[in-house]
Amino acid sequence: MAAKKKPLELKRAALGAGGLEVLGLTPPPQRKDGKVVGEGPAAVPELLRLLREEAKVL
Amino acid sequence: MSDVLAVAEQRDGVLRKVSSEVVTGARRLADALAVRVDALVVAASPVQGADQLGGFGADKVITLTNPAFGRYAPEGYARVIADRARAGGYRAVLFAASAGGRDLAPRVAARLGVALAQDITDLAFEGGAVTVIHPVYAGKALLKLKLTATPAVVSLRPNVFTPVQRPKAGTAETVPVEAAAGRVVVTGTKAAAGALDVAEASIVISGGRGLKEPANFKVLEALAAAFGGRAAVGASRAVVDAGWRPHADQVGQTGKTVSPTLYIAVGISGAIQHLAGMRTSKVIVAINKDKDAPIFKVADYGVVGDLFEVVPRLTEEIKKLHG
Repeated sequence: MAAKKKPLELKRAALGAGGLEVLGLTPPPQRKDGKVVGEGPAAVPELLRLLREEAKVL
Repeated sequence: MSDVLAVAEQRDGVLRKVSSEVVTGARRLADALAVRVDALVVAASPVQGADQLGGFGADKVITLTNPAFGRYAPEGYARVIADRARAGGYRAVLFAASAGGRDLAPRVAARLGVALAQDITDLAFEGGAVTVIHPVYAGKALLKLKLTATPAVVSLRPNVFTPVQRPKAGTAETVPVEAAAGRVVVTGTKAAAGALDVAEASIVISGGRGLKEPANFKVLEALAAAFGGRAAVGASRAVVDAGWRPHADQVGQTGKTVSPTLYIAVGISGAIQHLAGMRTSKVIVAINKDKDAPIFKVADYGVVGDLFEVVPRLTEEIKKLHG
């Protein structure tokens, strides 16, 4: 109970000017639906073709 | 004088790839402001390839040299960069959100007494202020922030700002600076032999529990090698926790955030915590034997099948492609 008798000192905190302002929160752009190229190793040539010709990352 | 300062990064006297991305981002902002871009390199001696930054849009490349700057020295670097930023009256100071940049940017921002936006994926100049996009909540939302103070200090997520070559060359200038390294100096760094950092590689091939045992990661390493030094091998949390792979390779919420051009998830089911670390990749390929694995929902291309059959075949084809 000793804690209850302690004086409680309230002080106003001085906040700085702050350099950041939140303008908005938006969901990230949806990824377009992917596709399953195929099953097993036989799908590899088609995957590479898509990566090269459609996605152009190779 | 309210130009844009792009802080380049060097390691052992060689410019790092992220530097060209930072300069590209700086150029984009500078074009919106119709101002110049200065690239800043802090090193022990002039850095080879620093003048190439001119080709990415830097009007001037300034190298601040001091023998104490051979290795990363947080206080020393922060002091000279902040001094330079103040003296130059820059409108914005850009860093890479690499391990080094994420340490340095807050120190510089604090010295300048301005706010900082870390790990941003886009930046612009709108309504008289620099605005940035910062992914939050494990990439599930994008926060748009306005930096009201000058200079605006930001760090750019690696691999997001694709370097754009420009036909124009910049001028170079080397300035020796007086500075002590500070109270904390890096005395040495030990990297896993020759491995490329997953956060900075343009191709990342990650493996999960589907690989069954640590030794099987050699299948992924062979595929990475077939890409000829452009690819790094990452891992899911499950295999890092199991001690199969070092934590430095972990991709996900509690690991690294990567956004390579091509991300190949092998034997990874695609828990939300993993997706948090790779969903901003440009193209995602998933290889998994479970056709219902959640990874196929985010993957652009999926292959359902046994990874021990699919990956070696892929390695073979990639080798053929690169001759």
